[in-house]
Parts: sequence; structure tokens; C-alpha cells
Amino acid sequence: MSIKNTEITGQIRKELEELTASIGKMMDVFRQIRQPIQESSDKVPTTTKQLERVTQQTEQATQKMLDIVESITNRESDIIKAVGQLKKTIQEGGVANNSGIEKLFSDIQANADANLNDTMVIMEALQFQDITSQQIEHAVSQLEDIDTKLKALLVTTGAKKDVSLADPVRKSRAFDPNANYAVDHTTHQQDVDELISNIRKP
Amino acid sequence: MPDLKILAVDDSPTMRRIIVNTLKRAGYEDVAEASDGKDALAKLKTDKFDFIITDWNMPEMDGLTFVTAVRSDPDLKGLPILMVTTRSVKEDIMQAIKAGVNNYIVKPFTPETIAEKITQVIASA
Repeated sequence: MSIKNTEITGQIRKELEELTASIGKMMDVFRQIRQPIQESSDKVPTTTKQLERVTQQTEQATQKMLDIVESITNRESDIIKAVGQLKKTIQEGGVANNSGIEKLFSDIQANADANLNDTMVIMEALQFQDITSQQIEHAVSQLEDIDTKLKALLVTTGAKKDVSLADPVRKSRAFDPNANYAVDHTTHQQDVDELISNIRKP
Repeated sequence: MPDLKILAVDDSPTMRRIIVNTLKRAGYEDVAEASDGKDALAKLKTDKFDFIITDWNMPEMDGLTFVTAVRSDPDLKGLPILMVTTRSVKEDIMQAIKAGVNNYIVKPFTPETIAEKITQVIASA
């Protein structure tokens, strides 16, 4: 073997030793990160379930509120009808043009109307439940995506061999990632109306 | 006010209930519900409706696919459709109009808006 060949062999051996040491260090890093990755992956289903529980519970609460709002609406509608009938009966009985009674009727009617309008405002506000549930669905979907990637990483690093990457129990989610409960939604709708009007312009 | 039979399509039970109550308050008493596009198409095959209010983001069949299906069905294509959705991006609105919706409301909506849009759509139909 020539001197040159011996030098090259020595150099290759040195580089191989460095490479082996480097791979060894990398394996140590993999061994160190496996546990946190596994722990993070394990936490995703729990967090997802908790978020889904938020949606379920706000929906249950909203449904209860709607029960009450509907009852109030029905009672107020009955009151308005009853006041109208009472007014007619009193007028037919000859007590018309009594300013005191007229005012009383007007006040009852105005209060009932105001209550009915308020129930509609409550109902309008309860739309938050659908909008926030879409925001939660988006967050859950992102978490599921992270979980899939973490599982893939565990398989790549050899920490897991029997991990199915696609979770078959995951439900189909429908949401708008930009869903937003805009406080001033009247202005928002005006922008939409203007856009539609422009689209339809000949 | 015209006597309309309305089909309200939304996957959220809360939203369906709010829409039904809003419509009743506006004087539209005959309202049926469907939970997504697929459910709505099944109801449209077995019952006669005069007006559709639909959401966009729904499982099984979304609102846009549903609108396209209605517009391509010879028996249903003339039905007025009002889309009520959270989607407010310009491109989405243009896509919905292109698919054949008659008007578009962004959630959250006011009771006045929904009544006004129904009147507008019926008047222009």
C-alpha cells in the first residue's frame, strides 16, 4: 500500500468515526424528544374532547335560553291579543274615551311590544353559539392535524410501529375558519349588499 | 305578505331554531327544517316548498353543493334561495351568487335583515 493510500484510508476512517458519533448524538436527541412527542400526541385527544364538550354545553345552555325566550314570546303575544280584546270589550260597554283607561292600555301594549322586541334581540345574540362553535371546530381540526403529524414523527423515529396515521373515529367537521361574531353586523351586511349589487350591475 | 312554505337548512340546531322563530315573528308560520344539503334534498323530493334558506358550512352536503344540486334539478331550479352564513369573504359571496343563490346574509343577522331579504327575493322572482 502506498503512503498516499494509507493517508486516504486514515482520513476515511476518521470521517466514518465522526459520522458514527454524529449519528449516535442524533439518536440520543431522538430518544430525548420521543417522550415529549408521545406526551403531546397523547394530550391532543383529551384537549379535543374538552373543546367538543364546550360546544355541547354551550349548545345545551343556548337551547335552554331559547326555551325561555320562546315562552316569553308566546306569553307576550297572548298579552297583546288579550289587551286588544279587553279594549274592544270596554269600548263596546260604553267606557270609551276614558283617558285613564286608554293610557293604561297603551302602556301595557307598549311594554308587551318592547318585551317582544327584546326577545328578538336575545335570539339575535344567541347566534354567538353557532359562530363560536365553528371557531372551536376549526381549533379542533388544527389539533387533529398536529396529532397526525406527531404520530407520523413517532413512526419515523421508530418510537411507534403500530400507529395508524388516519384516525377512523374522527368525525367530519364543517366550519368556516374565518367565522366571526361581529358586534356591528348591520354595517357588515351593508358591505355584502353593496358587493352583490356591484356583481349584478350590467 | 305572501303565504310561503319555507325550508330552513342549517346543521346547527340553535341556528335552525333562531331562524324558525325569526321567520314566525316576521309572519312566516309554515317553516320546515333540514340539517344539511342531503337532508334538504330528500325533503324537497317529498314535499313542496316555496322558499329555501340555507347555511354554507354543513357536513354531508354543504350549502354550495346543495344550491348547485337544486339549480340543476328541473323540478326545483326555480326555487328562490337565500344563503345565511358566516362566510363573508368577497370570493365566497361571488361563488355563491355564481352557484345561483338569490341573496346572501352574513351571520349574525338581525330579524329585520332576514324579513327584508325574503321580501326582496320574492319581489324580484
